[in-house]
Amino acid sequence: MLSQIGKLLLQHGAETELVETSIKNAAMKLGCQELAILIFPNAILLSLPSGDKVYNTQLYKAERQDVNFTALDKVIGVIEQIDETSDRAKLLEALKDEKSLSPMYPYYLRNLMAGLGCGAFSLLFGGDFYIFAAAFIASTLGFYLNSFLLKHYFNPFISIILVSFVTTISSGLLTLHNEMAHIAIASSILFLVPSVAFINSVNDLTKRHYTTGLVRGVRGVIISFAIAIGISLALHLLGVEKFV
Amino acid sequence: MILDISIGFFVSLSFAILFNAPKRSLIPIIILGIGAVLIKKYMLLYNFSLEFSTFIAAFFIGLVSIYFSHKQNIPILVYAISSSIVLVPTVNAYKAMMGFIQISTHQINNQELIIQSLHYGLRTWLVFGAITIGIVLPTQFLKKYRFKIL
Repeated sequence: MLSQIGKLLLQHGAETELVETSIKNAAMKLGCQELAILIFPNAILLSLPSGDKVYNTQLYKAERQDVNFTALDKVIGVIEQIDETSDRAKLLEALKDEKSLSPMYPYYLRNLMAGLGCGAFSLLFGGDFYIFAAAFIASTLGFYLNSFLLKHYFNPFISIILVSFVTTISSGLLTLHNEMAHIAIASSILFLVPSVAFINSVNDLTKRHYTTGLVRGVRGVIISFAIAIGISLALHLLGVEKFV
Repeated sequence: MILDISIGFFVSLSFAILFNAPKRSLIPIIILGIGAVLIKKYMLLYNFSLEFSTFIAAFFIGLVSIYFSHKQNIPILVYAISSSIVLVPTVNAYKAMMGFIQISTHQINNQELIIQSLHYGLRTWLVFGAITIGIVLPTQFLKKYRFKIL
């Protein structure tokens, strides 16, 4: 049960300190005093004492990593429910049932919101309404492609390159002879920015979880380079001089 | 002013939905996003530098999200990440990248271009650093008042 908690938290984008303290908290509530945890960027090592000098140690892997804050909220709610009287099998079942654990917002809403957010961001840098429309269309298209590729189990980095390529091409074509084309391109790519990775990285580094912090930081840097590769490919096709 | 408020509203709401934030945390995220946009804008109007005003806005997000996370029992991360998207310096990053592409393809002798793109690149990294440090800092020295689990 503890491992399931940790795995879920690690999969859905929690920082290391949060994973560790919530596992410890749940262990205390389940009545287990001694516990050793080692957290890797994509795995958890748990060691529980059972009897005299006999330890149960096991390694659990987190299969994928995405961002899903509702799941974090639900897992913490389950930890709160644990006490002497509660039915443990039921809680474990609740943790294992992924569908009910993290109800996603409807797909079309997320797609629309990706477009709206990036469009509004272009207004922040002084774009006009036409730029807003271009960023909206480009990022909606990009988000659609992104979720399509991830559904078919593409390598995430390659899919990021492809998505940023397509987004830049479409926003660049829409604003081909416009002076503010750079605003449209720069803001339509925004939904790919690895903000969770960067903030988690600094969070971990300052709380002395150096390994996970470094790995998350490197992951963020790789994602941003992938975005840059996609954009530069697209701009070479369209002609660099037009978009300075 | 109204434009800024609506920008903050839409950007923070849409990224909260993209990151699948819980429904009861949407209103605090929107409040934080609007506050961050307004703080950054008015500090820039009073001639503070971009880095410093971003830092203060991120600090505001970190500080207020501690309050909300205590009240609603949700990790700080949920509030901080979705609302700090408004501070990301995309145009600077884009200009730096464009400059580097131009240098690498042709225009080797153009010194002004090299210095300009270096300037934009450094600025992007500094602003990124300001965002992350500004968010993380309040959670460090207010450890006592932190969220029960976190």
